[in-house]
Amino acid sequence: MVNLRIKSLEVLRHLPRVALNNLKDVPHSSWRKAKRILGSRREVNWPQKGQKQRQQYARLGFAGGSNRFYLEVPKEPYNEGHQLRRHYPPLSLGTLQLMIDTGRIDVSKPIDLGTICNTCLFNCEPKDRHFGVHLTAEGIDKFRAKLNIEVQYAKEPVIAAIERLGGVITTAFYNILCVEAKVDAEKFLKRGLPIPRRELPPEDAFEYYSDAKNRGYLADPKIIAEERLKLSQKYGYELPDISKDPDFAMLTYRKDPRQVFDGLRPGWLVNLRDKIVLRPTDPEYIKYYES
Amino acid sequence: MLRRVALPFLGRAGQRLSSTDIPEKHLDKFDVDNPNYTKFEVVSDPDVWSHVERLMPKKIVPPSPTEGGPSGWTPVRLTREEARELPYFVQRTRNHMLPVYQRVDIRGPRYVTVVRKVQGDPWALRNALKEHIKQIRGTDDVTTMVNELTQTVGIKGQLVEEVKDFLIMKGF
Repeated sequence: MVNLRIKSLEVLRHLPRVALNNLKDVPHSSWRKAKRILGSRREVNWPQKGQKQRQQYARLGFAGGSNRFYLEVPKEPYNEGHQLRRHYPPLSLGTLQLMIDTGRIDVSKPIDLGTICNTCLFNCEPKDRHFGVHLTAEGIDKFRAKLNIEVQYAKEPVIAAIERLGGVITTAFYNILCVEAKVDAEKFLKRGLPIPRRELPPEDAFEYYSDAKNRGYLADPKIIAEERLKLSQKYGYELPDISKDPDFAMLTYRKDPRQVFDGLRPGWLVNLRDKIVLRPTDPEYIKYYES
Repeated sequence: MLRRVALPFLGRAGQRLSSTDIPEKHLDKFDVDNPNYTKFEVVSDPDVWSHVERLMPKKIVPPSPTEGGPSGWTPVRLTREEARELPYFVQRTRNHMLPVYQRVDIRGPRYVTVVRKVQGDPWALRNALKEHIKQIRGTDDVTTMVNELTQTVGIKGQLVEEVKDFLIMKGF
């Protein structure tokens, strides 16, 4: 028989740590006291005066207010809780092509949120819960670039437009701290903090980012290859063979799901003044930051 | 347990290589062999540093490309000599774009398409633009405005694309 104490400690080791994002009140800590009855109990239960004694209750249909409940204007609160939702500011394919034409974006290297924000032409505010870029289909007919792009949200026509030209698109999730690091990397590195480890998407976004149809970064690459072929058949174009492409290494490059910056691992520390990178060697650190 | 307290000093530890004047009370924080602080190694690989340099935002707008692209953007086609002979000139913005904007009146849908950064005679540009818009629309009803002080020319209506096409046709 396993020692219960050891077993529970082992379970505890795998449970999430207490942090600011999962703190909660102690159960039943906010219970109110029962209301004390003022005056005589008889008067409270059976009032001797007023509307209640004369039983002047409201007519049928009036539920507290001056409007009948069945005549009230129905509400459709589409924007309810908008401050808590994830927002993805849009970037159209036409604007992306314009950035490429004017030399703002280099197509010979993989493109991600950081590259788009470094042009200083795209506004992404992590403090307003902007979780990245939504690539929209506006200007889809003018798009002619072959690239490897990583965005946070894209729909089927956009995926088809990029893959038709021999490019690769991936949708990837960044938690808000990593978005902050990516949007203004210089500001983040000047703070002297280690490069964070990217968190996995939350429960309601996990399905999107693990679906091969959305080219999610958590999906199986084999299923993604099948879906690429299916999409080309659906839209009626011939899928270019990437394996024969001279930019094969660039097109097939993908970040680790826990990685934030290209070529830099989480936990590393960048010293901008002396132009060196510090890599922790403690096994505890390596274990904490490993993917 | 993670020794998180030691982390801020990791960043300063790199300065040890360049600066020699570390206060005596902080010397132990820069000691690599101190067991109280995180052990680290210095990566001075230029390949790794090239990745860091790619993260830095562009401080300067890149120079104007010599060729246009599929987005419809074109560089200025007029040469210096050709531009001198014209009665007017429209300067590009610092981002190599045409300074054509749409202004909206808050009260009611009243749109004015405005060309900024006009050099020379704005009336000549206004006359040429008016003729062009008349041909496109097929009517004589084209309302324009000219502001000589700010060197802007305006046309009533949502005509940004039309005005941009006209200016590109003229070589600006």
